[in-house]
Amino acid sequence: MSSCQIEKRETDVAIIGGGPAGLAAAMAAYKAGVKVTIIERDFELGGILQQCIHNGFGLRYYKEELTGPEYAQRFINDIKNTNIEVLLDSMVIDLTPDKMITALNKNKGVLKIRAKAVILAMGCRERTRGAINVPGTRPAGVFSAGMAQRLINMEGLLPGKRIVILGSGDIGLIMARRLTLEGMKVLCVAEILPYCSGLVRNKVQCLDDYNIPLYLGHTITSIKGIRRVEGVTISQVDANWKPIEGTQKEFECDTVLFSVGLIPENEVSEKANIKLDKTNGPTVNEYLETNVPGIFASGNVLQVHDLVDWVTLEAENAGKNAAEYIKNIARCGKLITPIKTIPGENVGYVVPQRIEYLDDEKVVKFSFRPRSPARNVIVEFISNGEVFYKRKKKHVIPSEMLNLKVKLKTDQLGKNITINIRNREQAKEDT
Amino acid sequence: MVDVEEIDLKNVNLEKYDKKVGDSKDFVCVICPNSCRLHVEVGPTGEVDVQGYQCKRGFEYGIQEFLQPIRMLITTMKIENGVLPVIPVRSNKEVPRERIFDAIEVVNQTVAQAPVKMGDILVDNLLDLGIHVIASRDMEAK
Repeated sequence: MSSCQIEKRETDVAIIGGGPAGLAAAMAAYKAGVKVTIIERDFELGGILQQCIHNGFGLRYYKEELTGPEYAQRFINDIKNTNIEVLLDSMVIDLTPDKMITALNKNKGVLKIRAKAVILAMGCRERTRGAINVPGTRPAGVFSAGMAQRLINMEGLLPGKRIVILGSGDIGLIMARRLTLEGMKVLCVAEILPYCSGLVRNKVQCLDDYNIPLYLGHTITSIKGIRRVEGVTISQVDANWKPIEGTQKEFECDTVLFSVGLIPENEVSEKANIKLDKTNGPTVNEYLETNVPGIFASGNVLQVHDLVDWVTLEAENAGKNAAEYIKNIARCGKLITPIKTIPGENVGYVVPQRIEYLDDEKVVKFSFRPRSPARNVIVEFISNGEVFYKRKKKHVIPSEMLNLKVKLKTDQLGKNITINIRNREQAKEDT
Repeated sequence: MVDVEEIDLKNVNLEKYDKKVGDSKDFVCVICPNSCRLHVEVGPTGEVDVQGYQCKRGFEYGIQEFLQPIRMLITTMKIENGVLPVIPVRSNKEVPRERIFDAIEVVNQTVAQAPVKMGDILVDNLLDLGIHVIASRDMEAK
């Protein structure tokens, strides 16, 4: 390969990332009749689904229960029957606002791909020990849960023998079971929150089935060991997450897994001057379009989802919208001064962050998350000081994203839309 | 296995499920997010009674989980000549929970040969349960 060879390509819709979001976006854009290119950094398509070998995927989208690899395989098989271009082993390192993509490939060298529209589908990455500042030494044997999952489920390697897991999200719980089935001893799962953040089903089938203790309101306060992890201390925390002296428990272990949250991958988005939100992902309008016209976002790069089925539905939307952008198909409504959406009481964030096209009325899909668990609540959409939409919910928890389709009418809307999740009794008293 | 649709709750073969009159269990239904709290009990006449469910699926889950908990077998199998050293596999039906470790042992003793297609049977009639272990994905040869 000559040192300065640059391979130039052109496409209609370039999709960065070949995981569940990229696959669904690609199929939707392809069906809308445009040329599609998927750029994937791994050696195969499927993304994180390939290491999520457990079942529970697809109940909404396929109406049957699949494993992660099965869910991915169905999309991969669909894509094989199309002329969608797939560039594997290709790492995108740059994206410009005028949609020039630079990628690196071991065999082809530098690729320059000129696209008419781009869909960001890079997914997310795990928060690490460093992100939550756990004290102690820095020995080998500290992994993020997803890293351990990849080692075991795809590379056939075991991360250790005696394990302590921090974080009771679904990944932490599922890894507790997986490690146990592979012959490792999981000593406990510690969770800083006063409740289990994963699904009840996972607590029952991953911890209770194997008598793995779950310490709620606890965190790791020390990691010991010089070359390899030799043990950890966990402590109970107070309401401000401060460790309580005298509550320490010691565990002898050689491995610690961190399952402490996910953050969208933003490096490429930032290069294209895309504005980010408190989701840590790009801000988008109701067409899932970022502040850069023709660059769309979907899946975990936009907001971290709990169900892949929602990722698929969101990405299909982005794929269709990107194709329509290229074909210059008029959007529903005329361009207006953007109406901002604001997360109000007990709401962590709202997607989309703004509404940009509206005539008289139209239906818009909103996704948002509660900050804390609550029962018997009412979800309120408020503009101009008036509630224009409300919906009762029996219970809400932060680990379950809420998706609502809401009809917006011009005459009801001011500059902003605020979304609240309120106690039903409290809401009644206020009116 | 328990046929929850056919079973006569007034006439359960308690010995078969290692249960006796007076046995009871409290647990949370995991079929949907409603998370109903179930109480299942063997009454004085040997009748099995489920309380706390709100739907048919919850009722059936209560009986199954009380008499004989079942779980999907999910693990990986060694594969020769594949693009990866292991392939994800699952059982085509749920396996009794108490047989999961035996089932894992069978899978660990088996080696698949690439290429494999999703759905290919890699272990036939697992532990004489009439259940297969199938590939969860395609795996091409190296």
